[in-house]
Amino acid sequence: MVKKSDVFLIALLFVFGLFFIYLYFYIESTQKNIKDKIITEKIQNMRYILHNIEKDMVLSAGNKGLVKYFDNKNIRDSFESKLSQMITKNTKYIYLLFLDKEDKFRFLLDGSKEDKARFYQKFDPLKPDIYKTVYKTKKAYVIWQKDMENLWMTYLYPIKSEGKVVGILSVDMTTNLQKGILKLMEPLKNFFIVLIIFIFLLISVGIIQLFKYFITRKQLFHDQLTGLFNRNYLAEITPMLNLNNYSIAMLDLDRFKIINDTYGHKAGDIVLQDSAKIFKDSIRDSDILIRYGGEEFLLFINKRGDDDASLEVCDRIRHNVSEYIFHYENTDIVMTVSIGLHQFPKMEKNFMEAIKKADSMLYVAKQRGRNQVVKYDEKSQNPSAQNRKGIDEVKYALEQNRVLCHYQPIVDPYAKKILKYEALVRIILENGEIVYPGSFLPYLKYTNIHYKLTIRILTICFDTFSKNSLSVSVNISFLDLMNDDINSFIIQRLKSDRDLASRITFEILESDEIEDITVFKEKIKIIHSLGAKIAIDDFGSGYSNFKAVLDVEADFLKIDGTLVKDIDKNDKNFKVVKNIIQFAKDSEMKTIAEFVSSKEIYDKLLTIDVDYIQGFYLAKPTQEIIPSIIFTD
Amino acid sequence: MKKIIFLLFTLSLFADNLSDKLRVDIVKDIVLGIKNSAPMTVCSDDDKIMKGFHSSKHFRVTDDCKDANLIILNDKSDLPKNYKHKHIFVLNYNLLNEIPESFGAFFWKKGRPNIVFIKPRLEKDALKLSANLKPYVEDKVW
Repeated sequence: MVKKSDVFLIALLFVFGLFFIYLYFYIESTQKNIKDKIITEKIQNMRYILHNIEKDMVLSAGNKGLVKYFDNKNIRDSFESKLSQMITKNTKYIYLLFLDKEDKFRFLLDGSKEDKARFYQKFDPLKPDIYKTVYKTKKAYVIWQKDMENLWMTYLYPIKSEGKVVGILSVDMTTNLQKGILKLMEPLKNFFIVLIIFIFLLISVGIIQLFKYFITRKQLFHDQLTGLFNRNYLAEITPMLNLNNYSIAMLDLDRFKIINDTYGHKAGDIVLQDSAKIFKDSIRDSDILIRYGGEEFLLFINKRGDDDASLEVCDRIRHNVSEYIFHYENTDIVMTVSIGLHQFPKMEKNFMEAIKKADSMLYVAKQRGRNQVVKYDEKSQNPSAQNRKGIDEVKYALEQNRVLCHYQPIVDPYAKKILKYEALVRIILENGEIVYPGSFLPYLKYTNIHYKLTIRILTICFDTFSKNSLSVSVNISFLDLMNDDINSFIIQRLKSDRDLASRITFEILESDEIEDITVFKEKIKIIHSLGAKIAIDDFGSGYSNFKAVLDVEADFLKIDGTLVKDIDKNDKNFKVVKNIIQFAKDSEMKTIAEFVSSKEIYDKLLTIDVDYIQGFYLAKPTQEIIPSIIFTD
Repeated sequence: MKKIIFLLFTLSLFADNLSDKLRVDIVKDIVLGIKNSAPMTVCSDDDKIMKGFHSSKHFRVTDDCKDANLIILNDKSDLPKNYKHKHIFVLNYNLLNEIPESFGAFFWKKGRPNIVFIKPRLEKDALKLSANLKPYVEDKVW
């Protein structure tokens, strides 16, 4: 970034440049003034001398007239001698002209030392009208010659007798005088020319730097792939943005991951570029389009006309994308876009809150089957209670690869060996602090970030356990399972690695709001068909639906930790746990007791034949997978 | 007349360098303005004039002054021996005196181009001038 001082310096140089240009022209003008002054001075002197000669001539000639008077060679010689005294290196010719009756100018005297004319010889002046004007006006006249045989100026002085002009004394000045003046001024002029060139070079360097700054600024604020603004730009404009003037839309390309996975990143890039172009073509210059994340775009729609205008813009974008055929090599690709719209962002507490609302609506659009625009309605579920900070932290962690899993063993207490591990998500904050899911998961529920996080966790687990022969349990929500992207991802990965599939257990929260049990059962059936297992997590909490658990044919029942953690002291909880274990056995499901934090709880669970145990008593979750557990008894 | 003045004025602007072509044009105009009973065949000791005249369609040009009836002379020494029946136009005012047979001159005076025709010599040569050249006619050489 260019510092203020640099800009100031460039401005200063520019001012200097202007100043020196002014100075240059000032010198030019001064030079002209000096020249004029010198000439005026010279003419004054000349006029004085010529006036004396005039007096002498007129007096001497008397009534004879000049022609008759100068017909005498001796008189001519005498006057020509006087005139010749005025000849210098600056004064080349001096002669007396007379206008005869035929309107021809004739030499009466010639004081010149070269190219001397004869008495009464005809003279053809170049501008005879000016000479005649001198006769008429009786006033002296200066003719500026232009590069005429080294002549610079001709001074015409009228010789008057009895109020009439009887002749013209003509003095031709050479260019030597002009050259002399110019020569005098030349060094100073050259100095300023060099100075101006120098200043201009400096200004040029400054301008180049400024240009580079704008290029850097463009790169800083623009996404290289799509040419759209990036999040740096968003950060830049946020303080200046008046949300009264905008609606906010969050756009996300549907099933974009599939494009990347199927055709490769190059195809993904083409889709992103083309999509960006469609978006841009569908909006106006006053709208602001930002590439917010991978395939996620943020659009500020400048309010125009009625409130539904922004909805129309979003629908136009959605329509244009769905109509467009993306081409990659020889393949035609059809894409759709889901859009979450907040028409009145100013209603929100702050800018990020407004974006989050639009993001929530995007999530709803995805949930409703994609390729649609969902606008925020205050009366709908109110996601404003979500914690913005939590969402942002997860978002940045996803972008900056700061999401990881810790693994806690689930142990077979009878065989005294590890059955499998539960993958537990963690995010690492920018300051290195590890954050547990309880701090952020509740806030993600209705956001697009939630399913992105799920895909990331699944990716980590699948990648980790495909490299070993261990088994793992992964938590997944009903909503995740309903998400087509997640569903497709699971099917694709497990289909391609059946061994891995057989070692995966999906732990589904029993308390999750299962809206459509039929669809849910279908999803579970598919997972079972791939060889993976299902565990019902936190069973016993809330209003446990025994029928639903039986319907999904879960492999494991994971007893709610709140029941287990004081089983050694709380008799009621002990009885509940005992009954759950009995119910599981009757239903051919294995039981897992978590939150086992002491030997007492552990021993108590063994008395009621729990199948597997998990808890700090045996092992804490760790980033590295613990290969085995040493049983002290 | 206006054309001659214009040429004279233009010539003065380029006196030092570009004058040659204009000078040739002025002399050409002078030649064209001289009316003679016989068609003009021109010869000159001035190479530039000769070169410029070769392209003229209005009069003939010859390198051998014996065949010419109009000689344009820069230098008296270039005057051919048998010139008595030829018209002589000079490029120096003094030559008008030195060669009494010359009828006119084109020359520089005080940095300005000047033209002079001597009336008795024109009459002797039975030459007439076009209207634009008449203002340059003088009764004698001063």
